[in-house]
Amino acid sequence: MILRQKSDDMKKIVFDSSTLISLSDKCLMNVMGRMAKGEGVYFLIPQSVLDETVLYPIKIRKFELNAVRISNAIDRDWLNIVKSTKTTRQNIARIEKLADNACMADNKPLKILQRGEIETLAVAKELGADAIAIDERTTRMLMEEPSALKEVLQNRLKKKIRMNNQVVKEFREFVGSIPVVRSVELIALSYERDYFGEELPKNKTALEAALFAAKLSGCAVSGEEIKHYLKVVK
Amino acid sequence: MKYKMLELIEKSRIAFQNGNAMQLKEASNEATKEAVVGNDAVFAGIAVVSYSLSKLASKQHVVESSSWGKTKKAILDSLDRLAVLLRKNKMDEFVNALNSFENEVRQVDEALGNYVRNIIEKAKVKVSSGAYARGLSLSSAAELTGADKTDLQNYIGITKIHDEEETRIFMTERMKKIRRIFSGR
Repeated sequence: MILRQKSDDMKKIVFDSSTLISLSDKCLMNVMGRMAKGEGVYFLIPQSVLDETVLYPIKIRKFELNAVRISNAIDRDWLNIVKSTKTTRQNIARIEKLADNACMADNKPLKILQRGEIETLAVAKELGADAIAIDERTTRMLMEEPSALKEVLQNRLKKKIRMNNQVVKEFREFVGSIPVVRSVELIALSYERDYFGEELPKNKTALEAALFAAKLSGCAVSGEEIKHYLKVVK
Repeated sequence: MKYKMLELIEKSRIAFQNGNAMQLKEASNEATKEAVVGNDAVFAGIAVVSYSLSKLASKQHVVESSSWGKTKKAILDSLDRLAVLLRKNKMDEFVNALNSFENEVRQVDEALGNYVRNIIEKAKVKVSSGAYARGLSLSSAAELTGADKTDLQNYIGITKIHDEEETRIFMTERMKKIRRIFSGR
């Protein structure tokens, strides 16, 4: 368990549990480890992500192997746990309040985000992270394209959704314009920078397979996006 | 709210009595929607129960088993009990009875089903995926029913949810950002 003290000029990416689940599920943790070390980038997780991806699933046979893979990444020191501070807790409270009041249906606020995602945002803000890795789409949409999230809610709930624009603005200002990446971008970059190592051959078929595997593990990416990207890959 | 719950329980009862899996799924969908809008775990519980009953009702080996008649009657009695509690406005007892009902379905599934992973856990994942599709985050959707997050994420991955939504920032755009991040030491 490191951090804080190590926060020099190295780049930092804070991971949500959804991205770790996709990557560990498809046995790509070693690829990520090579990339983190090779590129000198800190991969970080908040305490709640540790709870969700290691401490809880390690007790369940079905998920134990994934938990062991993630725990191994922590032991090997390329995935670091960020301990909560008073500032983290304050950030969590602020983000939660804003997220809880961003969208209304039937004059009731919709609880669209939850503790896990909120803590990832809070830690990313606190550390001045260079990116957030998150595979689920709602947090990403609230950060990047709240009007698209409103459309999803409206179309799927078949209800008029009122988005509190002032609150959304405050949410976005408070969290900051941190770039969002998903497991598919991390996999694609590891291919481009030659970190597939012995896990996978360095060819387009392997890349395509890895990207679709991440999608099938629940990464919020469309097949169309992956195909579009593969067209420009050499 | 109580009236909507009662309506859904009664709808599920009629559908189950008639062996109508489609209608049970419809009741589950309606309850999921209510659960999302009200962040209401009780509606989510109703959605889970309705969905699991739809699965029981649609399995040939279950409905053709020798004990099905007795089992079906017990389930109908439990649904009646749930409706009575709602009519009497006994919400706490209703919630307890709903939890017990889940266990009842689990027992039926264990006795008559073929799979290790039980019908209630599958129903929780299914209902939570519906909540995610409607716009909740993965964690919010999982928390609503108590579904396991990894199970939920894997299930979502094999659905078309992410293909049906419009993409505004493509992977190629995000790659430009990530390349910059990893180059800027």
